[in-house]
Amino acid sequence: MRARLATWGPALVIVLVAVLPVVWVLKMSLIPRRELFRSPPTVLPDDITLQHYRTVFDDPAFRQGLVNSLIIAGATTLLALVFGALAAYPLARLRFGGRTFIMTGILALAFFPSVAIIAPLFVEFRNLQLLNSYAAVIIVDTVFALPLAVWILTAFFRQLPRDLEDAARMDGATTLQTFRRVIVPIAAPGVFTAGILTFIFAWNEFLFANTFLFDESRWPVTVVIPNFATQYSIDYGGQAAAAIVVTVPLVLLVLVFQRRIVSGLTAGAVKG
Amino acid sequence: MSENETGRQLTSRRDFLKLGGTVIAGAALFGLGACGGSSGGASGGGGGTGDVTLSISPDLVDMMKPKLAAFSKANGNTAKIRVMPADTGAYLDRIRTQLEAGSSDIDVIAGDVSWPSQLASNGWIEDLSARFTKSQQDAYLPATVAANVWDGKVVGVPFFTDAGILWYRTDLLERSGYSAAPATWAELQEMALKIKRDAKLENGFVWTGAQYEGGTVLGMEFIRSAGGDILKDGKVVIGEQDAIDGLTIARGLVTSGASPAAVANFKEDETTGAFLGGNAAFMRNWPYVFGLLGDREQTTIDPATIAVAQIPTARAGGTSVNVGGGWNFFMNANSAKKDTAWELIRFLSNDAQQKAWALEGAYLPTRKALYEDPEIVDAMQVVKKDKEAVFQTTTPPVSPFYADMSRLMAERFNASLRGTTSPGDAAAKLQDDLSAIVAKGG
Repeated sequence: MRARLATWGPALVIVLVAVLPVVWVLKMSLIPRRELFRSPPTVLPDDITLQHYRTVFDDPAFRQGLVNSLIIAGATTLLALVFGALAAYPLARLRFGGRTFIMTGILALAFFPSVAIIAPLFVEFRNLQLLNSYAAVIIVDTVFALPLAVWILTAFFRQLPRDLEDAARMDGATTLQTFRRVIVPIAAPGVFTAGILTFIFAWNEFLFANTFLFDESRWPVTVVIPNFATQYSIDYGGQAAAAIVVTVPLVLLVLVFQRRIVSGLTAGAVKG
Repeated sequence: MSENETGRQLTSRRDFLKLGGTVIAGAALFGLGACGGSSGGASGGGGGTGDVTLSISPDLVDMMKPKLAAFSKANGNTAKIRVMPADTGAYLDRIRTQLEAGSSDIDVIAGDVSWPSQLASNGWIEDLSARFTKSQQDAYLPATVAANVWDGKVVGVPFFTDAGILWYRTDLLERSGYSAAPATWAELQEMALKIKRDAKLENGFVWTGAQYEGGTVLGMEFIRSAGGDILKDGKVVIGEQDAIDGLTIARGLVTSGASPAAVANFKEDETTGAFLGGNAAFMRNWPYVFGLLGDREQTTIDPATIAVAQIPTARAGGTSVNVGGGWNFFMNANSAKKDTAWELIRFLSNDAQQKAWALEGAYLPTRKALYEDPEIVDAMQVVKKDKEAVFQTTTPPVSPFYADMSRLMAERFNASLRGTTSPGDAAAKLQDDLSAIVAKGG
């Protein structure tokens, strides 16, 4: 009994801390505005309304934002996987000097606070005339997503048995062919993990998009959501509904690929 | 653009964080961009025609679209919208980034009343003195034009204005034996306490005292209603006794219980929510609340029991003062189409347009004549009920450093309201800090 408590107690705390805010936002998205400001607040909704969902879906900027998010996160994921896999494979397979240095260098990239480099990036993109284009955001998102992708993929590639490649080489495949025809297919779980994490990162990204994109028609949802407001008032219900709408695809994605993500993340964790 | 200039700009991290913005990162860097000489066509009064772009906040977009279509049809050049962030501070950050970069993407900017000096002192917006002549200015409420004057030049044209007003519940006042709105803060405090007791209300008087621009405005309003001010003839006077009296009144409302301690966290949403939800007898807010009275989603009390009055004064017999807001049109100094841009500004600020904004969206006109227009008087309750409040509106101090000053004031006013500093200390500190800001610029 006590042991059980020791396991479930902390788990419960973590779930409460992580999940409760989402449940609360869900509740905010479903109650009318007058209930939002009731004091003391209601725990369970008194009234249920879909008004806030209607508000967000009636807004063309929000619908366009979903499309833009999909474009930006989709392109970022694709690029991060292509470059990530191409970088991870040699890092996992080839022995060469400075390998550890490169791995550390790649990881260090992930430690840069984005705020610190946003100003030089802004100038750079202005000079390249990339400001206000999807490309600007996709490029930066890819750069920031790559370290994680490379690390996950490297760990995953490393645990694949070398015999497979040897066999492929015997059959006359080049390194790249081996990579494409043999390694990538069996590395799918790792690729999925890296892909989903990249997608989630790019989908949630706000700072770069907010800085580099001026035109409403290019804003991803994260930039659109704060605009459910006027100069006097914030449409908390609308923002909550929008937040839920934006979160749902991610939750589904993770639930569907849950097993693969776990196997991808733990790859190489235990020497077999 | 040498290495160490980049370094210098980036190390001013404090500025970065202070503005809380991210876009500002870009702006800070543009100290660089500008020295590189990217501002091409900033050539004084030169004309130019063509398609123009107007920047506005998202809540105005739906109403603005048909107006721009009408302009485009009449003018021949097309006017487009560039949507900016809803939050006024974020909008300013964004516009500063663009203007500092010498961008000519946006020709006309619809922006807040506190922006003109900040934008004009950097040369980002056009001096309109030659176009916006004295006789044209006379058609507007004087305070709204004055807010657009920087260094003797008029740099903006008033769009709509906003006035602080006192809202109250006639039914609750009557029940406690009052027949009129309070004239002084002392009366308000006493009435709020009695009504709160009689009606078993949660709150007496609610207002926007949180640490943000609205809190700054309220603090300034208390100070001015007590005869004090922030700047007088360019000198900081916030340390004087009148100003301290104003802050003391604000704190007194909380300590007496007339206002809940929570007003130190209240913005417009919380304030309006409490009042329209039937949990307060008095509220200080903007006229936009009139637009919510018909909305049963938000209003649980009978709209017929709601009335408005002028902001109380500190001393009996004093003149009511309120600190207001409002929006204006500015012209990008880098615009390549200044003639069309000016035509657009003229069009959007004429009588017919302002009337449309007043009737469709309850935006208070800045042109005097419209306050005599029967349709507007009839439709806009605040004009019908309390025109004087609009005429007595004062604006925040005109200073290119207003953004910095406002942040400091918001912080200190809030501390004084919470009781973590005394009103006297808050005023004394602000006297020093604001003086330093003004001296740095002078």
